[in-house]
Amino acid sequence: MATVFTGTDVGAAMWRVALALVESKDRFNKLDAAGGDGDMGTTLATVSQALLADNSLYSDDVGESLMRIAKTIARTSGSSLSAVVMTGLITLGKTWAAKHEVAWIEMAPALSNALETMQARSKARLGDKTVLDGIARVARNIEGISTAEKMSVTAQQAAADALAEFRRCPAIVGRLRLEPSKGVGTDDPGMVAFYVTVLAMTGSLSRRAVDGSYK
Amino acid sequence: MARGFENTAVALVRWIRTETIEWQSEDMKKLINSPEKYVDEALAGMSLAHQGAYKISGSNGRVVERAKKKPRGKVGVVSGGGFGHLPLFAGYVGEGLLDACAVGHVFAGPSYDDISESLKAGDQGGGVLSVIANYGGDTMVFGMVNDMLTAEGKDCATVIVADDIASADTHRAETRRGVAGIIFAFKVAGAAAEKGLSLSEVKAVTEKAMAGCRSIGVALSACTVPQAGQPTFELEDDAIEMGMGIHGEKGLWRGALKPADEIASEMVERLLDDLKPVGGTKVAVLVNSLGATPLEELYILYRKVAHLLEAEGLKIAYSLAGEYATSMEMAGASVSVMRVDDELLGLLNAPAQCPLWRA
Repeated sequence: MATVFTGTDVGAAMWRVALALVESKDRFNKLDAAGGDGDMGTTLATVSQALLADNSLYSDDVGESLMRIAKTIARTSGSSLSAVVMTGLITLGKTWAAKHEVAWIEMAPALSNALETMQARSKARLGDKTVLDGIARVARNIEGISTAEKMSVTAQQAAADALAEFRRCPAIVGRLRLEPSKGVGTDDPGMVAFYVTVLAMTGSLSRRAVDGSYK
Repeated sequence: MARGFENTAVALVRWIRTETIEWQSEDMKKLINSPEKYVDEALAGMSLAHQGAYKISGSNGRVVERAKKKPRGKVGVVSGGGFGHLPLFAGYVGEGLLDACAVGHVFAGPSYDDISESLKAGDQGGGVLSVIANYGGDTMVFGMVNDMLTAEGKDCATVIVADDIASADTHRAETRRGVAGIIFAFKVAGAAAEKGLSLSEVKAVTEKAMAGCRSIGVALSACTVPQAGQPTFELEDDAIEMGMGIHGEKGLWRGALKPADEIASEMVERLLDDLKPVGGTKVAVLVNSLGATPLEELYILYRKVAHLLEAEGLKIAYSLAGEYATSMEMAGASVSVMRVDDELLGLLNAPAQCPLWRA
């Protein structure tokens, strides 16, 4: 059972996530068009293509690998979701700077810490039905888990549960804040992107998850 | 044989024509080469058309700075935002206005790197003021860059413009979107910086201007983002939407088109209800085209707006009418009213050298 991960593992996970986000472009654009300007899929695909274009190997340094991803986002996108993700990656990168191995059990506290910086940057509150609610649920549910296998199953379930719970909630931030009730019954695009990210990261992405028929 | 070659050549030409314009559709008929090149080719043309005014720089080619050397020690005034709103944002780089501007994709904010490079381009040693509109991506990424540069020892400050009264009520005024009123912020900040004021003074006078600035828009038709290839929203031929944002964000109501005077009356009433100026107050007024609405119609609106403001006992001390903050080919207009005192009036009337600034 794997109890640690390296910077190379981060690179491999990034590769799977980027491929999944490129493949989900049209779906995310459609989701975003319901309450935003309909370009979230294009933005995520642009960033992902830039990540995929840089195909040199990631080093074992976990912090360096995370910073490398953040720098590519910094070069390619200025969206609010990108800013939130970049903030989280930088925080995690600083936490694990110069570490060649990180124990999985460190993931929950590090993710909670990153979540705080993302909240501070975005000024979104937990419960506002944003990507932060998905991250918060995962951070909470993986507490105390020390193996990759259990982490994978738990994180997937937590991201799915957060989506299901918030589907019935109104949208508080973004364009839909002007008529929050319109958000009831729909998924927040950022939360869906996070769900797809978790599935891809853990190597469990299926066709059903990419095209949205998982509901 | 010759006929066969001819047929092949004709087919090839047809294929090439189809290929090169396959992004065109009933919803999009634009003079462009490809959606992907829209921003970069427009910036290149802007720089060529106004020689000696704009310099395109930055690692992504998305920083517009003054072509002429800027005086050392002056506060740098920088902005940035999505493309598709010209002359806003990049068009206002020039003496007495902005020093540099970061340019994003159409209706999408500039990247961290573009913003960082634009702030560095605008820095002349007197500190840098970012004047930005209140959109999530822009405020977050400008915030990150400012934090990073501050940590490196640079003097940075930010003014966030939130003037669109249709986007939130007065209790949540800080969440409002930034729209055409930002033009006044650029003019005030640019003139104050040119005058030699310090960073904190430039920031304070710009904040004073924006505290008394309110805007509202009305949309008559949508625009099409080249990469999306379809209108940003659906609006019936005979309908308008009061309060719609410059990216097609939802407004206050949608209904039948009314005479210009009725529309102007509602806009002014809403603006004054929010601003609450006392009689005798001096104001600056901007009647702005969202892109497709011609100057003639703006003047028809302006005429009524001016009558209504004067009827309320307000004194129009500064006025603009024209294309200042657009949404590509969207039809419609916005009205901005800003409370002014002698200091603000002096800064609004100060000289500005910029090809796209029309006072």
